[in-house]
Amino acid sequence: MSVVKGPMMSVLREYVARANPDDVEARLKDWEQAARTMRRVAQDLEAAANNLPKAFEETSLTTDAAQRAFRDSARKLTHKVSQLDAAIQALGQAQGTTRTAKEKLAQLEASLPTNHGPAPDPSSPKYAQTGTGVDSAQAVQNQKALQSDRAAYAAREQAIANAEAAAAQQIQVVDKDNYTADPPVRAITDEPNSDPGSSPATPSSPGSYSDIAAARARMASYNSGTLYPNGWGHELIAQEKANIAAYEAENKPEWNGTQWVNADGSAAPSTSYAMVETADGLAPLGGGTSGMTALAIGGGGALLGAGVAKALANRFAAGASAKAATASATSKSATARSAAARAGAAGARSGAGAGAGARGAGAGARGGAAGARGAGGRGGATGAGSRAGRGGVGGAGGRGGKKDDKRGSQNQDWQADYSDDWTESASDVLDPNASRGWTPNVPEDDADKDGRKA
Amino acid sequence: MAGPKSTGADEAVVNRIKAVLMESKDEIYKVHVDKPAAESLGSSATAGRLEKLMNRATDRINSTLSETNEALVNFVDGLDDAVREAKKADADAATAFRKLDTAADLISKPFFENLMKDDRLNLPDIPLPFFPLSGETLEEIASRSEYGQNQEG
Repeated sequence: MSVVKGPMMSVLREYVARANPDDVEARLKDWEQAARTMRRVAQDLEAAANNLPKAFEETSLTTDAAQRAFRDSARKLTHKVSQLDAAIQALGQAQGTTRTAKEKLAQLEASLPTNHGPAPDPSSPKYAQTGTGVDSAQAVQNQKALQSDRAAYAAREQAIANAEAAAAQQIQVVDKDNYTADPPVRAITDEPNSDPGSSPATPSSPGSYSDIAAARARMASYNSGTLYPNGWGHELIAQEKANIAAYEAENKPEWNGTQWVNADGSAAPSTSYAMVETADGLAPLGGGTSGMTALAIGGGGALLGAGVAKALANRFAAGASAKAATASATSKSATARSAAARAGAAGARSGAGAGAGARGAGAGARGGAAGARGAGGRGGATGAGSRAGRGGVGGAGGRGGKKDDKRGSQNQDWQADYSDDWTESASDVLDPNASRGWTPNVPEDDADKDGRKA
Repeated sequence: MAGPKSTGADEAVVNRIKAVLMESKDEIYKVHVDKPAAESLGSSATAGRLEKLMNRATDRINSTLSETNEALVNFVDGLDDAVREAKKADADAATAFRKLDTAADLISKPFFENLMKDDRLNLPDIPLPFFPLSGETLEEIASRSEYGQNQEG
């Protein structure tokens, strides 16, 4: 039975699933026996050294030498025994930690829900407050049902988030103990003062925070006027800037050792992480707007973390097909929306990737993409479709798709209608620049991955 | 202490020492350490490194045990020779004792320098049917047979 688990749980599983502390400890028993036997030999040699003068003439200088040989041997052997003991102890400790981590993993897996389950949808007739057949008693009951369903849903999400945090901690403990076990064993295999090896790399699924740091580091190493193997410096810098913007928008939470952090390093709500997870994939959501509404509520309404928005964008974009681009203008379906989003993203990317010379053209492409989005995806949209349209060449297109702006007035554009346009709203909240034509990133299957990492 | 016949060596004491050392050698001979199964420490990078180290350490320990075994043979042989020489003339005992130095050198080698192949007999712990001697006995026989065969030349 598979459970919903995040990347940390998967990493922890990878860490200890095949580990067999019992087997290792059986080997360590052999080591112990070796140490014990060597200790006995050392004692025997010491005894022999003491008895040597009795066996040979006391005055003999050679007896002294022989005695020294025995005694030296005993001392050296004792030293080896102590080295061996230290290694056994360190390895034993690491095995104990691994065993604990294994148990913890089993516990955590047992605590995880098998799926996210649907977030309770307050508009569902199940929770109706008014209407036919709903009297006040029923309304109260429905209200209670909604509350308890919400609580259950929140509990499931919390369980996933908690398991992630616990797994991340276990991973660190395992790594730390394996690392501390290293030097005593190394004392056996290597010369003293040999390179102890690098400290363990932070075992994490790097999120946007470190992605951005890496992009900044790369950017700092470029000179704009220089030709690098993979392009002109200024182009590469533009590329990295685009990457950073993309990572910021993506805002994949990252475990920094103590807590989840956003792309900017601020603390991220742990439950938003649970929803981004997906080793086994997000549980299938109810399609269409109701599913999205449900999730929007589950994630805290209009103030969804952008990570969630991203996960959803992925989810819906994945299902989008090319024909969705030609969907009717009034369609509010998620597929049409995400197809437009994808087209927009492609435009934005081509703009960024084309480098300085093409930057103007890139802006144009971006605007065009935004226009396409307005026309294709957004029927009654008052949100980003029209807003993005304003920002670029494709403004006319964006506006054209807008149905509710009957007077041609700008005012309507500023009416936030998050229920209809929550994805862009959420990113607007986190990234003010996002409304200038930014669209959610498309998932892995896009060629863009390569371009971005280059 | 010189005996009444003043041979320069008290054979009873020497024999006792030899017996103790031979006993030790037999024990050392029978101890073998094995490598852990692949990935039994876990599959993380740190565990992988530790596993590699542990495998190497296992080799070193076996090699060290083997050399300690050899050193003990040298000690016993050296004592034997020393007694023999002491009976003839004390002066020659010095050369006999040289074997002890070789032994001391062998045993003093730190773990990480023990790169020798472990050439001791390592019998599986499975009883051989119809064979009167146990694996342990066979190992002890092999261990004992090393005396006197370890001299170069």
